[in-house]
Amino acid sequence: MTGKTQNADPPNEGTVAVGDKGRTAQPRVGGGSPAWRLDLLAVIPGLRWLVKRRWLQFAVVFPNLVFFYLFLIAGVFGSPVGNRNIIIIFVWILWWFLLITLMVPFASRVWCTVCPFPFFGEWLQRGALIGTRVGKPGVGRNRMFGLNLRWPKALSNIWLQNFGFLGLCTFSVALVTRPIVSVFVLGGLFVVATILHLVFRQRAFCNYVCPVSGFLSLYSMTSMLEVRSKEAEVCSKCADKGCLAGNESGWGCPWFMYPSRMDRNNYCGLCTECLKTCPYDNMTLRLRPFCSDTRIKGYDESWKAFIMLTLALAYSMTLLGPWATIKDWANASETGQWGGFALYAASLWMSALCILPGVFFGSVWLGRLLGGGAPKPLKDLFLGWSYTLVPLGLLAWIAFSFPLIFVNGSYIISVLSDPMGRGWDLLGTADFKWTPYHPELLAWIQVPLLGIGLFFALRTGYRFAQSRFGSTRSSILGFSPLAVLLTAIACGFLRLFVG
Amino acid sequence: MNWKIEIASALLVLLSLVAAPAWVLHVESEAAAAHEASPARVITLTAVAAGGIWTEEEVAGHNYWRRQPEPARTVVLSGENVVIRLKSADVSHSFSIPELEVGPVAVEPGKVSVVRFVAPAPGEYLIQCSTRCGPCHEEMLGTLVVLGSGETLADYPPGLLPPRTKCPNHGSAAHSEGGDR
Ligand code: SF4
Ligand code: SF4
Ligand code: SF4
Ligand SMILES: [Cu+2]
Repeated sequence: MTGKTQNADPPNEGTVAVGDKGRTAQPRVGGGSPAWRLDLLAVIPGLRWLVKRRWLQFAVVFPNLVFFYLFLIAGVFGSPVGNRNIIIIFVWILWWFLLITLMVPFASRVWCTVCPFPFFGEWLQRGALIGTRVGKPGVGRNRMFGLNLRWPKALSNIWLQNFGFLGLCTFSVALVTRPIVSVFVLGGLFVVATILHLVFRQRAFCNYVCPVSGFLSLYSMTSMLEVRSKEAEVCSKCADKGCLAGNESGWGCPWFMYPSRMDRNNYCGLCTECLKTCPYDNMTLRLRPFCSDTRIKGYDESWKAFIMLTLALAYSMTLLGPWATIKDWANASETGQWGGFALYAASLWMSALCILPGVFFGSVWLGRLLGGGAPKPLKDLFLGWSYTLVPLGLLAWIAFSFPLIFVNGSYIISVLSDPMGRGWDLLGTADFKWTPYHPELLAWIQVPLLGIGLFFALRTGYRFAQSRFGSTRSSILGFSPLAVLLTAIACGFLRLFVG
Repeated sequence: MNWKIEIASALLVLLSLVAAPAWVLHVESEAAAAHEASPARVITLTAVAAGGIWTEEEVAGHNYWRRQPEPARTVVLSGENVVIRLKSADVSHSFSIPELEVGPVAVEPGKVSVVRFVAPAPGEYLIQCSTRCGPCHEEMLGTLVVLGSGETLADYPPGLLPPRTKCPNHGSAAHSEGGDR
């Protein structure tokens, strides 16, 4: 398997030892209230039965596949006007909104459970839609088709996704206004996913290529849902290791995780296979506090956090801010201002890849100096503290997404009746008009959201400082430069949102 | 593996790949049929602000960005019932044929507006847009050619109407047929 799964670093917080049923208290490094977990399979009747059904994933992916197929048809044959075409309204407005405000914070990577892009690839790879196979050749104990190559070690990180996502987002205006661009991008995801599934083993595409995956992995760290093993004891005695290697009941983890040892949400696609394969029912689905995974494992993940925060700022400026010039630059495919676009793109990439990381590094460096004590490895501080950008970035994105849905809400209703913008009226809502909304109400949603983001950023940052600096005084001193930076960023968003 | 279930679900997937476009075609043909009142000539015109034209061509996601459609020279027979379905490929337009006192009718993206009239005496009539849709709105290209009995389009060579020259986007399209952006 890949290097991503087994990493011997001690976690920042005590999330390794896991309890079994119901709420279990756990000690936390650096104080604070003990973290709780709620075993959903134990408390929700029928859920255990459901996640053990082999047809579960097919049953949720298939309808989604049909929808995306129709979206693609609408993109090609429907109206070229973005807000009259379902591919734009449903994918970039509704899907994005649900993803960032509900799925990621509350249900981790549940989108990946229902996502249709790897459908054909996985079907070909497994030779099955619902059932499982054991035997050779394959992966682990599972019989699998295709070349089943290992993904190159050098690319076993999320850098590809970082650049892919930044690249896509540079052209976001074309993406959200021109249906055909979305067709190429979404159709491309289907094609590339299918090809990569035939060449590489399991979900190499999802783990290392899919541009959506990068921010799902990063932000799912905050999520209140997790798949984890229950008792380490049971796993250490287990000879089957079905969660890893697969067996008659299911496929070994398609996401290259060793589910039994999993201690972060990042690369678990919630496919529910390990819940099916574990012969001891030792894997489960749990509710947990917000921001429970706090360990960033590499620079690729830190940079994802920088990129996402920068994009949130850039979009807030272009879409909500008062600067018409920047808007025109970002929208070069309509305005033809390609010179301005080059400037916009260059400053976007510079800020995301150099300026924000540079400023962040400066404050970490200063913090190390102020905190005093024995010299601490900069890399450890940099990675550890870069987690603070995760809650801040996620909540900034959520706050940013509310106006989107308010402004475009009426299109969602009307496009339901006329998905292709061809004058249909399937449900009688084609002429639906949004009742004028009150922009001043939005601020009441956005400001608390930003506040929550800043709170979690400061809290996790301070706790990390405590774990590294020890005494309260030096923790406060050490964290102060970064705390100032985080607060400044939050204030910047506040200005953009409230004006 | 339970082969019956595998095959059934595979069939379901393949079926849906065919059924989805079939359903789309079905709904579209019903929507178009709703505007027909027999006997009538039904014509669909799409307004494109970027090029400043009315066109009989289908303008959809897949071709909008690639090329400029041909300006319409819509041909009908004198005395015929005419139904024109009006669409927009981009912004709000409005459709009128001032000489025939047809319209103005608002044309919105994502909607189909309909005008009905009886084709008048033979001749070539200008189609106009009276909503500020873009730099070419005053001179959106498009005409209605009404043929008398025994006439063909050859009886109406291009150039009967004064050339429309104010629009920066028309390029060669104002003078010849079609042309690229
Ligand atoms: S990683 Fe990407 S392609 Fe894979 S399931 Fe998630 S969203 Fe879909
Ligand atoms: S199969 Fe179950 S018991 Fe065995 S290692 Fe995996 S999770 Fe633990
Ligand atoms: S097998 Fe388990 S750990 Fe692996 S992706 Fe699926 S749900 Fe997550
Ligand atoms: Cu017009």
